[in-house]
Amino acid sequence: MKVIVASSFVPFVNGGGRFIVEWLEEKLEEHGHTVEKIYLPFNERPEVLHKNLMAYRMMDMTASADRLIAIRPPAHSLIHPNKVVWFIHHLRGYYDLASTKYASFPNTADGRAIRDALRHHDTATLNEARAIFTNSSVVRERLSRYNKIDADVLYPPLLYPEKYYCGEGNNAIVTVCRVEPHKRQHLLVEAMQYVKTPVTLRIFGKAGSEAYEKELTALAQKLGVTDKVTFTLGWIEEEDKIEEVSNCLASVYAPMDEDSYGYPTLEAAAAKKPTLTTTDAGGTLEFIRDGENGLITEPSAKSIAEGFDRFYNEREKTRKMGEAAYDTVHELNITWDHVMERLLA
Amino acid sequence: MLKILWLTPAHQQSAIGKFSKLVTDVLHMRGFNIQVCGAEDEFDAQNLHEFGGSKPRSFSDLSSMMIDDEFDTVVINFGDHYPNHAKGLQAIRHKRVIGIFHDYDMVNYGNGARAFGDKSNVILQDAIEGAQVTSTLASLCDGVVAHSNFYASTLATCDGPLSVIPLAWKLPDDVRNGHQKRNAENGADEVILTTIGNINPNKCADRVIEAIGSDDKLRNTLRYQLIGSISPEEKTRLSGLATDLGVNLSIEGSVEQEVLHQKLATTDIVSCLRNPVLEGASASAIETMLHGCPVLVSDAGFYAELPDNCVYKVPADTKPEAIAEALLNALSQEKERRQVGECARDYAEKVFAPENYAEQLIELINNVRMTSSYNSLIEETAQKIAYYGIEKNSGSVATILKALEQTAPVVQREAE
Repeated sequence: MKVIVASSFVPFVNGGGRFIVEWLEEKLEEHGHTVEKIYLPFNERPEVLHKNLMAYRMMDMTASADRLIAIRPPAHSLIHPNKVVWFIHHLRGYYDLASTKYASFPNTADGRAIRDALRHHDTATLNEARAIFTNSSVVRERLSRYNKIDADVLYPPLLYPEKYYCGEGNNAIVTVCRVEPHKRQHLLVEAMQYVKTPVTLRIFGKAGSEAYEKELTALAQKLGVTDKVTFTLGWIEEEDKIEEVSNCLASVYAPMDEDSYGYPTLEAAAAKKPTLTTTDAGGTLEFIRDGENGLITEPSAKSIAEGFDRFYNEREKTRKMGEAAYDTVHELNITWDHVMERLLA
Repeated sequence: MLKILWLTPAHQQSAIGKFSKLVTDVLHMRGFNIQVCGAEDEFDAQNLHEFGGSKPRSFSDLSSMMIDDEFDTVVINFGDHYPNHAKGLQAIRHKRVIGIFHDYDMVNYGNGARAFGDKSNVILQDAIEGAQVTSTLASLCDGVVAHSNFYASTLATCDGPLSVIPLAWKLPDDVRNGHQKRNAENGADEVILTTIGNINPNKCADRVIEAIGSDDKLRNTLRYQLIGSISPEEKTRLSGLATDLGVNLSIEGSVEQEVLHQKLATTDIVSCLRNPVLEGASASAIETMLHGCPVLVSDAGFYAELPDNCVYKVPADTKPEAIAEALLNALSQEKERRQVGECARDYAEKVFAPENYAEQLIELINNVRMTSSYNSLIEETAQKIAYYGIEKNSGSVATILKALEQTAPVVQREAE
């Protein structure tokens, strides 16, 4: 089958939203399909939002492929009779974050009209699809709540989970993801002032801003935890990431209200390592079950520190939770075979 | 919670004011934040309708800049009476305006605006003919409402969504619940025929008198009563005509609402004949239907759209002979007459319910808000097409317009 995998992108920002596209392309090709991957720029500022949407609507892919798989919004606005949407998140500043300080539009009548026009547009264009999948129950619920659309959950797998292995385990708690305020690396640094065991925290990832990077390092200094916290800020090569995760004690991933469980959770599970998350982290709670395959704590520095100490003090339990995390991947059918079957049906 | 600025005549004598109260009360209960503003040229804070969700203010009190920022839509009620609707010409300049047009022909409004309005406001400068005034105002709105289909095309000059929504009207609860039996059921020999409202030549009272006077049975059976304001000249004219033709006529003049309801409760037939039909919908006709009265209507405009089994229709030219025939028919079939009245009431309660109006208006409001947000894109696209000298019937324009239609809830009217 000739398949177009289409997604929007924000120039110079790399993350999970791109991995899913890149990996899907690779797996489709492995399964014998001819694939064209298309990234389209998109700017969600309210003053240019409609213009951008119209540009997407001017692209009719009907003659170009047998199937269109749309990932990051508003790729679902593209036109194709065999459109399948793997919906990874809304433009949240116009949806669930619309009444918060993270809103993408001003709270004026103009702004509210743009918000509602976008929601109307999304609902209409999503309903053109022959099938709609979401990457988590969290996103599925939002699609139902805001767009009255019933979708199936289709969890995105890692590209090569088999490359991870279960190393002996050192004393490091690792976190590998973009370094951004909403990923809350600062909370993890704060936790380190309260740990009572020899655990260390290793933070890996590319910082979204120099300001936040500086804030983190200054925080570690201020709290006197520079001997317990290491920063390796920048893009981490895949082999290095595999080594760090496979040999750590455990992983931590505690973003604020995330859309899905996140690749960090999956990477740790592939290495049979448990992940600590927090009660307000959103999609991670679809994967992690407290005390079974990971830990869930309150989103406070002290609670997180207690979790880190538990990983250290209860090593055998930590090992078992890691194995359970590995099994969870299979329980939830997070495999490419399953993805292929659903997307190409 | 969306905010609506609702412009209407607010004083108690205004039927449009009453309509506005009925609808805004429902909108308020549905969670909308409503600010009612008086549309009158001279706003008087006394003797206003009691709006459930808002204390009426003068439109002049609001800051122009604030209106566009704060209100999700501005609803303007337009009627053919300039002093009652003067502020509409100021409000129409704002964003996301929905015009509710109560009259098809607004010649008086246009004349009033030119004579008494702000001379720098040139909106209606060239709109002389009545329907032209209506269509000019509609063209400046982002969405429009007609109360019946017959004049919807006049409002199609509006670039935005157009809705035909039956006028909202309702009897007071105590009137609805405490209905009296009709004269006929009480065995009275006299049959009462009534016309209500501002008694002017448009109401065809003279033709009704001629019709009654042309037939012995009608003359001997019917008492014709006129209830509502009437000029001394018209009173003299109609009284003289009735005397000449031997018609039993009583002219009541203006009465309190309570008295009007009592009169309607004991009326056997109501005449809502009009020539010509100028209003978008008739609150009088609806009120009488809600009372369960059989109604005589002209088969034109709003009235032509009423179901045949709910009213007695007289051909549009409203000749006395045709009126006489309809009256004789109604008189001879007493049981059917009552059924017509009951049918009218059932129909009116369902179709003209304020909840029904509010539901459809909410849909229009959301459409107007969303489509209006595309205005700057549409304008920019049109300018670019013009800049590149692309002909309006070219394939490129068709592609662009199609993409616009597929992006937004907008509908292509004509390629400009």
